[in-house]
Amino acid sequence: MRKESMTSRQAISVIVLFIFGSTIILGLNTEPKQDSWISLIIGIILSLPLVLMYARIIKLFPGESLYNITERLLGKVGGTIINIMITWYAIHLGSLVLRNFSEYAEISILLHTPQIIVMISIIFIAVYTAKMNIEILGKWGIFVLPIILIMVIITLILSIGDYNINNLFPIMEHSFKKVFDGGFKILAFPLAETVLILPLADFFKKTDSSYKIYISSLIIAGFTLLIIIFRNLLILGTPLMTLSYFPTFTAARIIELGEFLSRIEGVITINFVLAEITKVTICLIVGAKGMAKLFNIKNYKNLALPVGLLIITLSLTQFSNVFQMFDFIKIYHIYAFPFQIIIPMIIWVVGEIKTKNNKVVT
Amino acid sequence: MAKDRKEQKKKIIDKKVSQINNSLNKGTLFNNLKDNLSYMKELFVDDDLFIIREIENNFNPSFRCAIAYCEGLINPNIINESIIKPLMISKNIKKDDTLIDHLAKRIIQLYNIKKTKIIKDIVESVTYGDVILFIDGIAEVLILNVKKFEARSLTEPENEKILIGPREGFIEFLPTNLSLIRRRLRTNKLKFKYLSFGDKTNTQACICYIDGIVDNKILTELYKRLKKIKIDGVIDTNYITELIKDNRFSPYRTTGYTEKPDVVVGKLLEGRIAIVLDGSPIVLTIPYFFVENFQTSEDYYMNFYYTSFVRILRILGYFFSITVPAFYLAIIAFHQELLPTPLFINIALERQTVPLPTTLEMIVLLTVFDILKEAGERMPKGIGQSLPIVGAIVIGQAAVEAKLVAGPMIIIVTFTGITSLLIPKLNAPIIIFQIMLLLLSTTLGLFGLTIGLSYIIIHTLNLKSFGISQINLTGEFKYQTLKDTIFRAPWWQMKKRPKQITKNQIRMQQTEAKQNV
Repeated sequence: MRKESMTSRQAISVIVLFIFGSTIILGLNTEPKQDSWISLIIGIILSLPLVLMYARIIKLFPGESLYNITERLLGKVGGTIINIMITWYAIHLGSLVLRNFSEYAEISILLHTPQIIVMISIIFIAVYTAKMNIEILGKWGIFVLPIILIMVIITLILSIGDYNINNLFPIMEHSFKKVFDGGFKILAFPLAETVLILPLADFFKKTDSSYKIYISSLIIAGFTLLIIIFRNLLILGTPLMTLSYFPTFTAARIIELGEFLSRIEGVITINFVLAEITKVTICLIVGAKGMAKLFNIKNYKNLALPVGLLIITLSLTQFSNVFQMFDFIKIYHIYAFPFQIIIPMIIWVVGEIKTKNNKVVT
Repeated sequence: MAKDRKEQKKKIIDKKVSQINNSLNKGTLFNNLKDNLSYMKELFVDDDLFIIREIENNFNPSFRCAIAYCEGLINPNIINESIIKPLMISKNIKKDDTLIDHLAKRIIQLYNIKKTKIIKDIVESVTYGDVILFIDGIAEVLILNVKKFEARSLTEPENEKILIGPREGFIEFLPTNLSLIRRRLRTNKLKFKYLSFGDKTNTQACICYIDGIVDNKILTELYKRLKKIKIDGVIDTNYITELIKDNRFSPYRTTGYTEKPDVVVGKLLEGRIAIVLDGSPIVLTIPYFFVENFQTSEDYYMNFYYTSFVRILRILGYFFSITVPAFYLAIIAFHQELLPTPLFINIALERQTVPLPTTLEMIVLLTVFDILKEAGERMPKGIGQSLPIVGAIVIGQAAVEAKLVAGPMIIIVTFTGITSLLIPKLNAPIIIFQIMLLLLSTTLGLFGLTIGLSYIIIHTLNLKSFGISQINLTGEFKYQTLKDTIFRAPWWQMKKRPKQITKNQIRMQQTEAKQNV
């Protein structure tokens, strides 16, 4: 069988969509109010060394999944523990993201539909995609990313009339600590979530530069998020933006083009769904790959459906209402810290040492 | 008792049939003319079309032979003049070891003669218009080609009408079809390979390709799949299409089809392989790309700006025909706020008196449109004229006036119907996906529509034709890979062949290309 692989551009577009995932629904952390955009820039700068570290791990072990690396570096027991943690993080993140969307759907577009139906629909597509050759996910990325970017640009242009430049002032009203804190939160959600791309590294071509893949996706995603945050700020202003759970949705409500086009928030949903599907699919594949590694099953695709069902169950049971979910999002950066920083750091350091001593034969 | 006898009779017949079948597969001929003839008569018992004519030579009475043929498939004049006449009056027929070669080389005046000993070959050729010459004392026969079939004349294919360009179309006769291709490609690199399909029909097929351009991997894959075909009869190329399909349940095509020789030649030049089947005017071409659904032969014969525009229209047409009804339903049922208020009030007023729910109304009207379309295609030409009147006035105008259906609905349905006519090659996916999206958007609004569209996108991206992706989205948008997809580049820019199909990509030698520019 031919090895499944993605081209570097496919990988970039998939990672960008992954970062968009639930971010374009929830919006970024808005605690620093009108200085959110500064926080975002700080977040992007902070995420650079982290992302470089992820890329370095791939570079050290080209063409190999994180799950295979850990056992070789840390022994059977250590490797399995790390693998369990990463698998858990993937499945949990998948369920979290799914819940974000279903809550959004209940509040905004499907008022009377039970959330589980929304979840099943998305998981159905995710499982269907995961069962296919990974190349299909890559093509999906190439196909969908332009649609989302074009939609963002269209909303940007249509809303020019509603911009209020005063919404941005005063700059740096809050303490530097608060802005910096916001940056940290943006780092944890969504930028450093790209740690979950590491287990998929065996789908990249060995010749492709992992640095290029990671950095360019970070730049594209970061720039787009910056545009989105500016748009939302300029349209909504601080009070509305911090009040609303789904700022982009609220912003789209205000946009109108003459008498004909108005209230396009329904159409914006298409954007959300497309990004959402990509993120859940990646979490699903990473989860299924981890499970397959743990239980020694050859083809992870057989586990796509069970893991999908697991994600739905987890997603339904973990919060009893939307407020709990938002409370959890507030402390998410603390929860995610070991997965996003500590584990990769250990792997990186050990990997660096062992490859230097030539103890690991690649 | 009667039952027993019947069963006994059946058993005997079965036994005989199996005996004949066995001897057919292995059987060879006898030395004796009489035995041979009686054996042939036994094989073709109860077949009055099968005729045996015995012949003796005037000057050498010891030379006896017989010809066997099927009536209606042969050319009687040639048999009289070139076979019977020389056999009867030739003076130098002597019985010796070289008699059969002597006959073939010196006596019988025909261009195509074959020798055989195998009964299966004899049966196959006699039922395909050949004459079999049995000679007394020799356990071998001559197969003489005197075929004469009635075939349709070359006309313009009904479903691939064009404004500019070659109008010739294939017919139901294989040799004519092959000649149409050969005539347009006068090179020794063009290869024809005969195959036959069907245990009973023994239909001849021909695989054509250009050596040096074609990818051997695809060719071997094709042969592998064709060998697996086990079926009693192949009547049209669509049998083969479905038997060698990649994604078996997909509504999309994975092989191209055309009735026009110029199209086949164009595809052969790009490195594709063509399958021509006897008895069918439809020729298959593989591998097949998704964009080929939107291409027509005319695209290459007319101005490139115009055809690029039309091609984009076709792609949009496909998108509209599957999404517009679903989108309308989603807006009416879930997202009324998307419409400007006055328009929405208008629609709501129209809908007030309509008895059916919107979804049902939509499904009913779409079905009615499909009924009208189907009836229009099948109806004899004389009655056909009343159809548009019935369709337009009775179902359209009267239904709206009687307030059975809403006016906007008619507009949506007609628009969808007409756009789906733009791309006849995609009629199957359109029907299926239209209904699927319709049901999803009635239950889940725009969210359902997006989910359905995502499914369609992933399914479409996954399409393969002989192991080659039908849609190639690597993310590297180079001009040469895009030139014949969503638009049609001018001919002087088509310097390369599609790279997924062939390794020999250069279509224009560099110097010539420079001269053209």
